[in-house]
Amino acid sequence: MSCCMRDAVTLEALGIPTAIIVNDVFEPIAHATSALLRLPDDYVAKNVVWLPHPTSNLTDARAAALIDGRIDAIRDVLLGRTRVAAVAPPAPSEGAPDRESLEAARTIVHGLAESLRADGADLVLSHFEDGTLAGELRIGELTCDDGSCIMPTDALERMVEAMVRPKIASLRGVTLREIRLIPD
Amino acid sequence: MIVVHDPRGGRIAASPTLAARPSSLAGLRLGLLDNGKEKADALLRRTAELLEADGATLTFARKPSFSRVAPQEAIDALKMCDIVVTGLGG
Repeated sequence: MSCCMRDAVTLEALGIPTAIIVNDVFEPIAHATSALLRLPDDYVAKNVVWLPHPTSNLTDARAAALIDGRIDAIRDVLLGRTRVAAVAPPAPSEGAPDRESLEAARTIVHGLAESLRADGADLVLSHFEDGTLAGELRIGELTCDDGSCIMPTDALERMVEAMVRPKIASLRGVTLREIRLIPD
Repeated sequence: MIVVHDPRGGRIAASPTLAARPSSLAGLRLGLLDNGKEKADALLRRTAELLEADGATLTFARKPSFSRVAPQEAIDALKMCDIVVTGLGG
């Protein structure tokens, strides 16, 4: 997802309007990448068309039917037709106890964790203390041979911070420990 | 004079520029950038068929890896396009 968005930004800079079609499991990554790339708040709403995950197991007929149902949305993106009004994010919480902040952070990154699990990894947040959100990136049997389908830990830390900070104002940083799971 | 270098590296100074949108797809050159994930080709080809019916002409490009940005050759192939659809899969 993040690479599709980076490709789109490259093409947009060349003056080429670009629509991104992507599986909905990657929505959290789309918003986080948009924030990291300093794209407008409504960029994802206006330029991404979502498909229900997964799509890799579709027959060609089913894949065609799925696109048939989304083609108007794709046209809307390419022609710049407004589809969804931008929704302002809720005000960040101040002074919430660490336990509440941890639970809030877990909810925020739930979709990101799901997308990592789709590739054989997992994101587990363990505690929130003195403004630091800590957890683990657990890497199991990945869907790619060279590990490149999983974002590097430091990049993932920045992404989690970008996702969580707008909602938890007391967040000062994210620390993730990388753990490689050994198969039985 | 002492020169101090910031070790944190460069930061993006400004928000990326977004291209102006066309008013119609008729006669436009449509590029499709396949990110290499399974079924992305089938989904993008159906997208191409439907947009070709709107009057667009087609250019296809495929990335060697979905976990990396498009190589320069793919970007160069798409530079001649007026609009692009990219994606997808999982």
